[in-house]
Amino acid sequence: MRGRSVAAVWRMMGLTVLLYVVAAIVQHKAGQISYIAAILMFVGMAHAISAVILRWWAQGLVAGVWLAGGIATFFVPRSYVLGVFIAEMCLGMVLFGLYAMWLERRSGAQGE
Amino acid sequence: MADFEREDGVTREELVQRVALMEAMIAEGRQSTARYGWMFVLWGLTYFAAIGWTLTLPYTDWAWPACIAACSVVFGLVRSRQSRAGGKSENLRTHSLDAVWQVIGGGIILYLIAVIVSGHGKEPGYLAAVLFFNGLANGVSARILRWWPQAVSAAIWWGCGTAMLFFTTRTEELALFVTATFCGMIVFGLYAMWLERHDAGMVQAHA
Repeated sequence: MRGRSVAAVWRMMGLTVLLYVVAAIVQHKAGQISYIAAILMFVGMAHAISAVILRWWAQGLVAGVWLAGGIATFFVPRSYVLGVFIAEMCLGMVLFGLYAMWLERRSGAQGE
Repeated sequence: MADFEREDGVTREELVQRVALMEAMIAEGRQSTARYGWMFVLWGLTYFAAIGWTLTLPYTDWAWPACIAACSVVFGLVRSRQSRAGGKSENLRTHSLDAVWQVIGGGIILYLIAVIVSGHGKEPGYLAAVLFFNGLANGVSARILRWWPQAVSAAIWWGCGTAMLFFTTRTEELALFVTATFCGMIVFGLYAMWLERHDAGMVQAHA
Protein backbone atom coordinates (compact mmCIF):
# COMPACT_ATOMS: atom_id res chain seq x y z
CA MET A 1 0.00 0.00 0.00
CA ARG A 2 2.87 2.37 0.86
CA GLY A 3 4.56 1.37 -2.39
CA ARG A 4 1.48 2.40 -4.38
CA SER A 5 1.29 5.79 -2.70
CA VAL A 6 5.00 6.42 -3.27
CA ALA A 7 4.65 5.34 -6.91
CA ALA A 8 1.72 7.77 -7.27
CA VAL A 9 3.86 10.60 -5.88
CA TRP A 10 6.74 10.00 -8.28
CA ARG A 11 4.53 9.45 -11.34
CA MET A 12 2.66 12.68 -10.73
CA MET A 13 5.89 14.55 -9.97
CA GLY A 14 7.31 13.31 -13.28
CA LEU A 15 4.20 14.43 -15.15
CA THR A 16 4.20 17.84 -13.45
CA VAL A 17 7.89 18.50 -14.17
CA LEU A 18 7.48 17.32 -17.77
CA LEU A 19 4.55 19.70 -18.41
CA TYR A 20 6.33 22.59 -16.68
CA VAL A 21 9.67 22.07 -18.42
CA VAL A 22 8.16 21.61 -21.91
CA ALA A 23 5.99 24.73 -21.57
CA ALA A 24 8.90 26.80 -20.22
CA ILE A 25 11.33 25.65 -22.92
CA VAL A 26 8.80 26.30 -25.72
CA GLN A 27 8.26 29.80 -24.34
CA HIS A 28 12.02 30.43 -23.73
CA LYS A 29 11.50 30.98 -20.01
CA ALA A 30 13.86 28.24 -18.83
CA GLY A 31 16.45 30.80 -17.74
CA GLN A 32 14.30 32.36 -15.02
CA ILE A 33 15.44 31.81 -11.44
CA SER A 34 11.90 31.02 -10.26
CA TYR A 35 11.70 28.30 -12.92
CA ILE A 36 14.95 26.59 -11.85
CA ALA A 37 13.99 26.89 -8.17
CA ALA A 38 10.56 25.36 -8.85
CA ILE A 39 12.14 22.26 -10.43
CA LEU A 40 14.33 21.73 -7.35
CA MET A 41 11.26 22.26 -5.14
CA PHE A 42 9.20 19.71 -7.14
CA VAL A 43 11.86 17.03 -6.59
CA GLY A 44 12.32 18.07 -2.94
CA MET A 45 8.57 17.82 -2.32
CA ALA A 46 8.38 14.35 -3.89
CA HIS A 47 11.28 13.19 -1.68
CA ALA A 48 9.67 14.77 1.40
CA ILE A 49 6.28 13.12 0.76
CA SER A 50 7.97 9.75 0.20
CA ALA A 51 10.01 10.23 3.38
CA VAL A 52 6.88 10.92 5.44
CA ILE A 53 4.98 7.99 3.91
CA LEU A 54 7.90 5.59 4.40
CA ARG A 55 9.05 7.19 7.67
CA TRP A 56 12.61 7.11 6.29
CA TRP A 57 14.88 9.79 7.74
CA ALA A 58 17.58 9.39 5.07
CA GLN A 59 15.12 10.40 2.37
CA GLY A 60 13.91 13.23 4.60
CA LEU A 61 17.47 14.50 4.68
CA VAL A 62 17.68 14.34 0.89
CA ALA A 63 14.36 16.23 0.66
CA GLY A 64 15.85 18.91 2.92
CA VAL A 65 18.87 19.21 0.60
CA TRP A 66 16.63 19.65 -2.50
CA LEU A 67 14.32 22.16 -0.80
CA ALA A 68 17.26 24.12 0.61
CA GLY A 69 18.78 24.20 -2.89
CA GLY A 70 15.49 25.52 -4.30
CA ILE A 71 15.39 28.33 -1.75
CA ALA A 72 19.13 29.07 -2.10
CA THR A 73 18.70 29.52 -5.87
CA PHE A 74 16.79 32.75 -5.20
CA PHE A 75 19.57 34.22 -3.08
CA VAL A 76 22.90 33.12 -4.57
CA PRO A 77 24.52 35.14 -7.39
CA ARG A 78 23.35 34.12 -10.85
CA SER A 79 26.73 32.51 -11.71
CA TYR A 80 26.41 30.12 -8.74
CA VAL A 81 23.01 28.71 -9.78
CA LEU A 82 24.59 26.02 -11.97
CA GLY A 83 26.81 25.06 -9.03
CA VAL A 84 23.75 24.66 -6.80
CA PHE A 85 22.08 22.50 -9.45
CA ILE A 86 25.15 20.26 -9.82
CA ALA A 87 25.53 19.96 -6.02
CA GLU A 88 21.87 18.90 -5.80
CA MET A 89 22.39 16.25 -8.47
CA CYS A 90 25.47 14.86 -6.71
CA LEU A 91 24.06 14.90 -3.17
CA GLY A 92 20.35 14.36 -3.74
CA MET A 93 20.45 11.97 -6.64
CA VAL A 94 23.79 10.17 -7.13
CA LEU A 95 24.78 9.85 -3.46
CA PHE A 96 21.26 8.94 -2.34
CA GLY A 97 20.96 6.44 -5.21
CA LEU A 98 24.26 4.81 -4.21
CA TYR A 99 23.10 4.68 -0.57
CA ALA A 100 19.81 3.03 -1.62
CA MET A 101 21.75 0.50 -3.76
CA TRP A 102 24.09 -0.29 -0.86
CA LEU A 103 21.07 -0.74 1.41
CA GLU A 104 19.43 -3.09 -1.07
CA ARG A 105 22.59 -5.17 -1.42
CA ARG A 106 23.00 -5.37 2.33
CA SER A 107 19.41 -6.52 2.87
CA GLY A 108 19.82 -8.97 -0.05
CA ALA A 109 22.98 -10.42 1.51
CA GLN A 110 21.24 -10.72 4.88
CA GLY A 111 18.30 -12.46 3.20
CA GLU A 112 20.62 -15.10 1.73
CA MET B 1 -13.62 -24.08 -5.17
CA ALA B 2 -13.31 -23.73 -1.43
CA ASP B 3 -10.01 -25.61 -1.54
CA PHE B 4 -8.56 -23.17 -4.04
CA GLU B 5 -5.07 -22.28 -2.87
CA ARG B 6 -2.19 -20.61 -4.61
CA GLU B 7 1.41 -21.70 -4.31
CA ASP B 8 2.21 -18.98 -1.81
CA GLY B 9 -0.57 -20.23 0.47
CA VAL B 10 -3.04 -17.37 -0.10
CA THR B 11 -6.61 -18.60 -0.49
CA ARG B 12 -9.24 -16.96 -2.69
CA GLU B 13 -11.13 -15.91 0.42
CA GLU B 14 -8.08 -14.10 1.75
CA LEU B 15 -7.55 -12.36 -1.58
CA VAL B 16 -11.19 -11.21 -1.61
CA GLN B 17 -10.77 -9.93 1.95
CA ARG B 18 -7.63 -8.01 0.97
CA VAL B 19 -9.36 -6.39 -2.02
CA ALA B 20 -12.33 -5.49 0.21
CA LEU B 21 -9.93 -3.94 2.74
CA MET B 22 -8.23 -1.89 0.01
CA GLU B 23 -11.59 -0.67 -1.29
CA ALA B 24 -12.64 0.26 2.24
CA MET B 25 -9.40 2.24 2.67
CA ILE B 26 -9.95 4.07 -0.64
CA ALA B 27 -13.53 4.90 0.41
CA GLU B 28 -12.25 6.13 3.78
CA GLY B 29 -9.65 8.28 2.06
CA ARG B 30 -12.30 9.86 -0.20
CA GLN B 31 -14.54 10.46 2.79
CA SER B 32 -11.64 12.08 4.60
CA THR B 33 -10.99 14.37 1.60
CA ALA B 34 -14.71 15.18 1.37
CA ARG B 35 -14.71 15.91 5.10
CA TYR B 36 -11.99 18.47 4.53
CA GLY B 37 -13.79 20.12 1.59
CA TRP B 38 -14.07 23.32 3.63
CA MET B 39 -10.27 23.60 3.55
CA PHE B 40 -10.28 23.92 -0.23
CA VAL B 41 -12.97 26.62 -0.02
CA LEU B 42 -11.07 28.43 2.76
CA TRP B 43 -7.78 28.45 0.83
CA GLY B 44 -9.57 29.46 -2.38
CA LEU B 45 -11.16 32.43 -0.63
CA THR B 46 -7.75 33.29 0.88
CA TYR B 47 -6.21 33.38 -2.60
CA PHE B 48 -9.05 35.67 -3.74
CA ALA B 49 -8.59 37.92 -0.71
CA ALA B 50 -4.85 38.22 -1.41
CA ILE B 51 -5.48 39.00 -5.10
CA GLY B 52 -8.14 41.56 -4.13
CA TRP B 53 -5.69 43.20 -1.70
CA THR B 54 -2.91 43.41 -4.29
CA LEU B 55 -5.32 45.06 -6.75
CA THR B 56 -7.10 47.51 -4.49
CA LEU B 57 -5.24 48.14 -1.22
CA PRO B 58 -1.85 49.66 -0.26
CA TYR B 59 1.13 47.67 1.15
CA THR B 60 0.75 45.05 -1.61
CA ASP B 61 3.96 43.25 -0.51
CA TRP B 62 2.11 42.21 2.63
CA ALA B 63 -0.98 40.87 0.84
CA TRP B 64 0.09 37.23 0.42
CA PRO B 65 2.04 36.79 3.70
CA ALA B 66 -0.77 38.40 5.75
CA CYS B 67 -3.59 36.47 4.05
CA ILE B 68 -1.74 33.14 4.24
CA ALA B 69 -0.86 33.73 7.92
CA ALA B 70 -4.47 34.60 8.79
CA CYS B 71 -5.77 31.58 6.85
CA SER B 72 -3.23 29.28 8.56
CA VAL B 73 -4.44 30.41 11.99
CA VAL B 74 -8.12 29.84 11.09
CA PHE B 75 -7.22 26.54 9.44
CA GLY B 76 -5.29 25.30 12.51
CA LEU B 77 -8.07 26.30 14.90
CA VAL B 78 -10.89 24.70 12.90
CA ARG B 79 -8.91 21.57 12.16
CA SER B 80 -7.93 20.98 15.79
CA ARG B 81 -11.57 21.52 16.80
CA GLN B 82 -12.74 19.12 14.10
CA SER B 83 -10.20 16.48 15.17
CA ARG B 84 -11.28 16.76 18.81
CA ALA B 85 -14.98 16.59 17.93
CA GLY B 86 -14.91 13.78 15.39
CA GLY B 87 -11.77 11.86 16.26
CA LYS B 88 -9.33 10.97 13.54
CA SER B 89 -9.32 7.66 11.75
CA GLU B 90 -5.97 6.96 10.20
CA ASN B 91 -5.05 4.30 7.69
CA LEU B 92 -2.14 4.17 5.28
CA ARG B 93 -4.02 6.11 2.60
CA THR B 94 -5.11 8.95 4.86
CA HIS B 95 -1.55 9.07 6.25
CA SER B 96 -0.23 9.36 2.68
CA LEU B 97 -2.77 12.08 1.84
CA ASP B 98 -1.85 14.03 4.97
CA ALA B 99 1.81 13.77 3.92
CA VAL B 100 1.02 15.05 0.41
CA TRP B 101 -0.94 18.11 1.52
CA GLN B 102 1.29 19.03 4.46
CA VAL B 103 4.50 18.80 2.43
CA ILE B 104 3.15 20.63 -0.64
CA GLY B 105 1.41 23.27 1.50
CA GLY B 106 4.63 23.88 3.43
CA GLY B 107 6.63 23.87 0.18
CA ILE B 108 4.37 26.49 -1.44
CA ILE B 109 4.69 28.76 1.61
CA LEU B 110 8.51 28.37 1.62
CA TYR B 111 8.67 29.05 -2.13
CA LEU B 112 6.44 32.15 -1.89
CA ILE B 113 8.46 33.56 1.03
CA ALA B 114 11.69 33.06 -0.97
CA VAL B 115 10.16 34.70 -4.07
CA ILE B 116 8.95 37.74 -2.11
CA VAL B 117 12.07 38.20 0.03
CA SER B 118 14.43 37.84 -2.95
CA GLY B 119 12.35 40.19 -5.13
CA HIS B 120 11.60 37.72 -7.96
CA GLY B 121 7.86 38.36 -7.84
CA LYS B 122 7.80 39.85 -11.33
CA GLU B 123 8.79 36.58 -13.10
CA PRO B 124 5.80 34.76 -14.68
CA GLY B 125 7.47 31.41 -13.92
CA TYR B 126 6.78 31.76 -10.22
CA LEU B 127 2.98 32.04 -10.49
CA ALA B 128 2.92 29.16 -12.97
CA ALA B 129 4.98 27.11 -10.49
CA VAL B 130 2.41 27.77 -7.73
CA LEU B 131 -0.34 26.45 -10.03
CA PHE B 132 1.77 23.40 -10.85
CA PHE B 133 2.39 22.75 -7.11
CA ASN B 134 -1.39 22.72 -6.56
CA GLY B 135 -1.81 20.45 -9.59
CA LEU B 136 0.79 18.07 -8.16
CA ALA B 137 -1.02 17.82 -4.81
CA ASN B 138 -4.38 17.18 -6.46
CA GLY B 139 -2.84 14.77 -8.99
CA VAL B 140 -1.17 12.64 -6.30
CA SER B 141 -4.36 12.60 -4.19
CA ALA B 142 -6.46 11.66 -7.22
CA ARG B 143 -4.08 8.84 -8.06
CA ILE B 144 -4.00 7.49 -4.49
CA LEU B 145 -7.81 7.69 -4.14
CA ARG B 146 -8.55 6.79 -7.78
CA TRP B 147 -11.00 9.67 -7.74
CA TRP B 148 -11.73 11.30 -11.10
CA PRO B 149 -13.24 14.61 -9.82
CA GLN B 150 -9.93 15.37 -8.13
CA ALA B 151 -8.06 14.36 -11.29
CA VAL B 152 -10.18 16.95 -13.16
CA SER B 153 -9.16 19.51 -10.54
CA ALA B 154 -5.48 18.57 -11.05
CA ALA B 155 -5.88 18.94 -14.82
CA ILE B 156 -7.36 22.43 -14.37
CA TRP B 157 -4.37 23.50 -12.24
CA TRP B 158 -1.85 22.04 -14.69
CA GLY B 159 -3.72 23.49 -17.68
CA CYS B 160 -3.84 26.98 -16.20
CA GLY B 161 -0.17 26.67 -15.10
CA THR B 162 0.88 25.74 -18.63
CA ALA B 163 -1.25 28.52 -20.13
CA MET B 164 0.36 31.02 -17.75
CA LEU B 165 3.72 30.44 -19.41
CA PHE B 166 2.15 31.37 -22.76
CA PHE B 167 -0.13 34.26 -21.78
CA THR B 168 2.03 36.64 -19.81
CA THR B 169 0.25 39.98 -19.61
CA ARG B 170 -0.86 41.00 -16.12
CA THR B 171 -4.56 40.64 -17.00
CA GLU B 172 -4.10 37.21 -18.57
CA GLU B 173 -2.10 35.96 -15.58
CA LEU B 174 -4.77 37.23 -13.22
CA ALA B 175 -7.57 35.62 -15.26
CA LEU B 176 -5.77 32.26 -15.29
CA PHE B 177 -5.00 32.39 -11.58
CA VAL B 178 -8.59 33.30 -10.69
CA THR B 179 -9.96 30.55 -12.99
CA ALA B 180 -7.68 27.89 -11.47
CA THR B 181 -8.47 28.99 -7.92
CA PHE B 182 -12.20 29.16 -8.55
CA CYS B 183 -12.54 25.82 -10.39
CA GLY B 184 -9.76 23.84 -8.69
CA MET B 185 -10.33 25.02 -5.15
CA ILE B 186 -13.70 26.62 -4.51
CA VAL B 187 -15.87 24.53 -6.86
CA PHE B 188 -14.02 21.32 -5.93
CA GLY B 189 -14.27 22.18 -2.21
CA LEU B 190 -17.99 22.86 -2.50
CA TYR B 191 -18.43 19.58 -4.37
CA ALA B 192 -16.53 17.72 -1.60
CA MET B 193 -18.69 19.40 1.05
CA TRP B 194 -21.85 18.47 -0.87
CA LEU B 195 -20.56 14.88 -1.14
CA GLU B 196 -19.95 14.73 2.61
CA ARG B 197 -23.48 15.98 3.34
CA HIS B 198 -24.95 13.63 0.78
CA ASP B 199 -23.11 10.64 2.33
CA ALA B 200 -24.12 11.70 5.86
CA GLY B 201 -27.75 11.98 4.67
CA MET B 202 -27.57 8.49 3.14
CA VAL B 203 -26.17 7.05 6.40
CA GLN B 204 -28.96 8.72 8.40
CA ALA B 205 -31.58 7.47 5.98
CA HIS B 206 -30.33 3.91 6.34
CA ALA B 207 -30.01 4.10 10.14
